[in-house]
Amino acid sequence: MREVAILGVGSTPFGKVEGRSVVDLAVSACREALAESRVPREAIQALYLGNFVGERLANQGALAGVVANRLGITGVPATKVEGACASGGIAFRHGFLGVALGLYDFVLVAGTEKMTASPTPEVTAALATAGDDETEMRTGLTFPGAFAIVMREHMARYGTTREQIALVSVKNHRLGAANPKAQFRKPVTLEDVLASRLIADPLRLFDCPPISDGAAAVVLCAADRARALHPAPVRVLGCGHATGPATLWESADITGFPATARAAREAYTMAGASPGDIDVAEVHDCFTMAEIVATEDLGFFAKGKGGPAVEEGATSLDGKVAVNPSGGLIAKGHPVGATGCAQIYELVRQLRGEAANQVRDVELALAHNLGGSGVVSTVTILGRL
Amino acid sequence: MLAGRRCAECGRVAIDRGKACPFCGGEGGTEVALSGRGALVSWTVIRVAPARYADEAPYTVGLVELEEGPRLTARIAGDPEHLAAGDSVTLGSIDAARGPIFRSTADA
Repeated sequence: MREVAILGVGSTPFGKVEGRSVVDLAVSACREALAESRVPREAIQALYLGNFVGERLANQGALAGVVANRLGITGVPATKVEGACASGGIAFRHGFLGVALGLYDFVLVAGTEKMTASPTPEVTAALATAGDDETEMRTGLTFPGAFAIVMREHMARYGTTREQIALVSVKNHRLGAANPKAQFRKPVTLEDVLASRLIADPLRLFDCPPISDGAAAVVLCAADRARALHPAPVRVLGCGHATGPATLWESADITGFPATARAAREAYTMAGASPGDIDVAEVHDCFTMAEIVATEDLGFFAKGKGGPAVEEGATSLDGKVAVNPSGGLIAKGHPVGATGCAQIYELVRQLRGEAANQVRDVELALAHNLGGSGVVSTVTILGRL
Repeated sequence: MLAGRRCAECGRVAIDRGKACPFCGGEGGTEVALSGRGALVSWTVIRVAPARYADEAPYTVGLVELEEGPRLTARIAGDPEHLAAGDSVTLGSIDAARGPIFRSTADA
């Protein structure tokens, strides 16, 4: 496999973005990434585009081809990738493979979603398609509900406290407040989280991400060409992708997601790194509980120790591993198909020393994207070239 | 009643849905009678429901482990106020759309 570099990244603001379609958002992020990469669009040989609910909420299929045309790169193979909320991460993985395996020298990867124009029950139903309808979602379970069931079990089994879980929201809102791309720019208190309305007991509103519009994009290139093109390229050291159970009932232990652990193992092995080497991570905090589970599945903390780690500040900006300095999905926002690429956007900024909440002395950065209640996950490890 | 099947390949018991084993993809197996009795592992009360059940909220969905081993996700009827992990639950009915519906035996 060849070494792969990131030349440029782009991102729209996340939130309620009026007057821009799912296509407009993708095009905007791609143009920004191309400009930053200093690569002419004619050099792009393939496009991989992550999108989850565009057909259902934005009435738009064939999205990759439509975006390619609007970018003026008609003719290149353009592929839409769908893996629920991990669509962006999987798109990135495919772009990475295309360059690593020598098929392409320059690949554009993006993720995009338009959600805020739809009523909440429609959005909830669209997101619920990431579950197994025949055996689980037909009960009326939702994703907040699935993570609420995980939360109650994690609390019962490990003594994780309601306050520890709520502190994830407090941390991420505080960080999001300083991120100009974030949807929520106001801090919240522990009391605010615990007093917010119940969505799926015991999970409350401030345990959840907002409904968001947004897109993010990444230009990948063969590493041996990167230095000549850009002063600060980032290297993709490892990229893992794995699947796991699509339902809660298939797992003997619902307090962890095997897909995350498998993807992480692949990424760590490829990068020759271990969890203790990671300085900063953007993890899939689709709910507060999910951030704690992710930090355990990724090996940052032992099973059951993720809750105390938040309380002790081990996941803060100056902690053992800074987790979600962007504000994460909870505060930055979660335009579902864009999230995996947005995590890469944030970590490239971290590695260049230009992030909104800059972590000191970043050598290795990790992105973790999760689909459904663990049906698929990607883990990517980045460093400097 | 719920039908179960022990997979000929991996030996695990699962709800028999007339399909391959959900754990290993094995096709063969033997029928296992399921009592419909089990224990509540964990649960939630859905307050923001998907469009198709929007007018039913709030309702309870739980993860149930049957006495014979298989787990399933199902509606739990009754007041969720006093539910606790490990509570005995029993199959009440099977709804064509929503699937099996359990209730806490303490609630009966």
